[in-house]
Amino acid sequence: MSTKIEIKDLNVGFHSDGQTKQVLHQVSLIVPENKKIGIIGESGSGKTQTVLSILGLISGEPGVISGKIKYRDNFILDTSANSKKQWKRIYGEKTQLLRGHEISIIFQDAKASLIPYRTIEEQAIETWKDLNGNQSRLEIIENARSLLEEMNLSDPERVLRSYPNQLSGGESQRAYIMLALLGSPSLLIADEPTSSLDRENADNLLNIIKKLCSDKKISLLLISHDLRDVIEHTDQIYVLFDGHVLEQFSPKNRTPTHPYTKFLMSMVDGELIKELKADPDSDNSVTNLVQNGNMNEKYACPYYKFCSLSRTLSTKEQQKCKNEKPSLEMFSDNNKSACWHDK
Amino acid sequence: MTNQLTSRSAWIKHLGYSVFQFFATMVLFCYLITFLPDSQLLDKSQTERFTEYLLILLTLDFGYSTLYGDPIWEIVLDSGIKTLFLILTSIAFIILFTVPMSMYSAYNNDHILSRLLNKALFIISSVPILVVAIIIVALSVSLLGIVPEFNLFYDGNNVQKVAVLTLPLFAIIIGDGILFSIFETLQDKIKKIKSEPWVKGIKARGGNINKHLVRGITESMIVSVTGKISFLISGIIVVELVFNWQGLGFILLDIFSQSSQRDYALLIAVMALILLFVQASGFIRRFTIMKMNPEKKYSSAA
Amino acid sequence: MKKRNLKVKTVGRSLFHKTGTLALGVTILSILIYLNIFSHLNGENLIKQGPGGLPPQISLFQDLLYTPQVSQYLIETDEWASGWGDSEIRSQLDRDDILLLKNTPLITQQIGKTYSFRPEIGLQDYNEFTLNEAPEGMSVQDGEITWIPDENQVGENNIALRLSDSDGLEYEAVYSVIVTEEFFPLGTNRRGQSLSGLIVAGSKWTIVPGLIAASIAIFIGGFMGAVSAYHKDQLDSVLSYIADTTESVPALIIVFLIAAATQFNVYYIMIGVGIVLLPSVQNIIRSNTLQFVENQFVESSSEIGFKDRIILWREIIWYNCKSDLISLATYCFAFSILIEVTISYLGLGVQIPDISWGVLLAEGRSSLLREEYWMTVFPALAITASILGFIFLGAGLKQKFDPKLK
Repeated sequence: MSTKIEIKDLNVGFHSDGQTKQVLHQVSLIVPENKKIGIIGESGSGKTQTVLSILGLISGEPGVISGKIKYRDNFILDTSANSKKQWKRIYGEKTQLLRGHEISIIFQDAKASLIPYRTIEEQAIETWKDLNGNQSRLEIIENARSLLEEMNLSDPERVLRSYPNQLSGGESQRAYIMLALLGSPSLLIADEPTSSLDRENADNLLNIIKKLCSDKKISLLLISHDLRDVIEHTDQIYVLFDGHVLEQFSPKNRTPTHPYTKFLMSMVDGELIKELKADPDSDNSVTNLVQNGNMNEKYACPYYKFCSLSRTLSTKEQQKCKNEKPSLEMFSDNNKSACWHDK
Repeated sequence: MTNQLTSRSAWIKHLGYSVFQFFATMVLFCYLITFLPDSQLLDKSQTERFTEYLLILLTLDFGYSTLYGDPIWEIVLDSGIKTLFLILTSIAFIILFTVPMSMYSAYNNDHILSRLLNKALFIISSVPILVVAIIIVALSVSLLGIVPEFNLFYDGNNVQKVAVLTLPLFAIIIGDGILFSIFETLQDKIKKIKSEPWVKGIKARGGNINKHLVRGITESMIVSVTGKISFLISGIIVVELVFNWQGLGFILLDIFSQSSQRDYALLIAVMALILLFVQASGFIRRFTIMKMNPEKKYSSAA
Repeated sequence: MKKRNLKVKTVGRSLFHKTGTLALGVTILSILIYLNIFSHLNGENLIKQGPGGLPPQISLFQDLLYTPQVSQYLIETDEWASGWGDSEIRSQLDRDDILLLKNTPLITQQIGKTYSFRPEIGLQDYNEFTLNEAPEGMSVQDGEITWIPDENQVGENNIALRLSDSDGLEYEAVYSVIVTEEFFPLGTNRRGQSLSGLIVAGSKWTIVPGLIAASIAIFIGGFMGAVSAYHKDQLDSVLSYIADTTESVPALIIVFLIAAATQFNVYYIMIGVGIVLLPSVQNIIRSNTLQFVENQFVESSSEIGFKDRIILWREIIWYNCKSDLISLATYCFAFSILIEVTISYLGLGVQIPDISWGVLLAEGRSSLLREEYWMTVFPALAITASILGFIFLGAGLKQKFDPKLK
């Protein structure tokens, strides 16, 4: 099976106030052709940074970037770079070519992401021109209109002629997705598209995205903090915690085994906490519900401090968690889970 | 198409607003100058004076100036051109200086030079225009040996001509906080645009954000400069007096320095021209906002 | 790599700056208040007077900024006139043609202090100079002039140095030394008044006018802004229109009008300044309050009694607009100093013989062309320092009072 995107051992760290904070640790991820992959994690777990690094859109001043990123067998990143400038110099052109053409990314809050002082059709034409396309105006508008129609919009002509502030929430979302798909990309990355939506609207939106991707043979990389989004709409899920991939599982086949994922699943089923939106440092974060050991120390397993499973272990087993970092290659049936003791 | 109709009626609305404000302010002004005590006019009541001034305003029959002797139209035109020159060139200078500085500062936000620039500009800009003008005159006299009086323009050599024309401009833009306030507005606008979600969206689609940046800066520039026009004119009045330019401000001072038998017709004419400048720039401001933000017409959205 | 070193640690640096600004502002304000009180208590005795009718003089920065006048003459003997009194013909020499004295002589002196000056002669091959005209008690020793003036010599004293070069030509360099009883650090003006005294006397226009303007602008403008936000449908458009119209008239024109109407009474003019500043205050208060007027608990306040409503109002307005109000208030003070100086300079404000910094600037204007810098520079420094002081005070206080939530 050919792969669309392959990320291997990606490390990203940021400079701030003279210190380097590592945001991603050895993150590896594969998006196969025509599949839908989900990334789940709390805020600050690094999900957005992972996908931004694919397109070279990292904000701020990264200090360390290393690892390999491949798109369809072409390397976007395969050496380490110590600064954004360096990285841009080596790979900037490649990522620039990819944006919009091959890979499109949509962020949350569709309405705010549309240019406020241009009508939708003007934005479509501008987007196409920037992609160096040479279709005529009418062709572009026709393209846009048919895309909007595919998303179950009843009067796409009115939407095309409107300004963003005249559109309803659902209409602006569809317009935003349309702009992302104008360049016929083969991979769509959706970064928390459902954050500000209730459950029903979130499901609607994800169904639209899924349908479009299936119809047009576009691979999908869906990021969310809500487990329900990815469980229903993706083929494989990566669980990210504090910049580490803790588990990789397929929602249809297996139930997850990593204590963190199981904890998240229990939240969903029991509806104890509906969303994992909270900041890890705040009191609302799920990670503060369990506390083992010394909060200020760094243990080998990144989840040890919050792991309820470790409480049931013997001291010797706990020592292993504290001192040896579990790698993702630990198999448990078809899942990959980074835990010594969850089999 | 409905869009065209609404924009035409919006034009008329804005124009009407400017015209109405112009006349309302002029009428108020005519009323206020009847309060000026005048020993030669004790026989006239306030109402008589008010109606007299109103008539002058409405019929535009100013006649001859009692202060200078020439027809008022000529005087006002001649000095109006000088003042207009100062207004337009000082605006050009402001744009010339603030745009590069604010772009540098917005793009290099954490750099120590940018912070220094902010602080230095803040302090320099707070010095009153009068003091700046006097300092410029002093420096010009002692360093260049040139006394920057307007009349020097006619008999001086090229260097002196350039000095006469440009030195007042530096006095106008530095001082009274104009430079810093426009610089700060532009800087904030650039930073704001760069962090807007839709700008990130354009970048993510592989688009070019430069034309949006230019548009944002232009709009911000026009809106902030035209918003400060009356402030600018206050400064120009002072500069005209220090550098001896016989512009509208100079005439104003002459009129107000008289203690009796003031030249009211000239006063009304000068005031009308100044207000015209102010209203014209206000109109440009509203017009720019309307053109650059077409979506505001539909602000009460679905 | 290089760029990283120049980045500033934001937290520490800005904190220091905040306190620094505030401290500077408070210092300047206290100096002004002290000077104000001092000048009110002492009245006219404040201004020390040198001997009257003398040209202005200063001892600071004499070589740097101000070149005292030294007249140079070529002395020729008129053969025909010998025997009939004055046989000397004096022709004035330009400084560009020949420079008799290369260094500038000291031209001010206090009684009882030693005056010493070693002239550097600009001629080649000259004989030692003599004193052709000199005040009593002045002597030359080894090329150095020394003198201790006493109280009888207060005033202008002429000194003429006679030089002759190897060709037998005679020259004379003439300058005058002004002797005063006291030391005037900042120099004197045309009437011999000490500039430092004048500046202290002028400081009485820094606080009180600002108080008038600030009270009018803040209280009336704040009230109008709050009412405008609270009664958004009814009064808002009217009040906004009034603010817009006031803003459209250049500030100086309103000030000129009031100056002419009230015979240049500065206090009335400050009322006008308050009116000029009204729209800015009104707009800021309005936009701040607008955000909170929509809140539920304000609407329900109509059920509360009258007194409580006032308290509620005050709480909202005061809490949210506190920092803006304070910085606006200090700006009002700075602006009134600026206006007072400008109109006094133009002759429409404080009138002579009353003293203000603007009047000093006006007096100093003609002196500028003669390089007599001190009559302009020191008042200008005082003005700039006061205005900056208020602005810094406002900036520092604003950051202190800023609700941290913002």
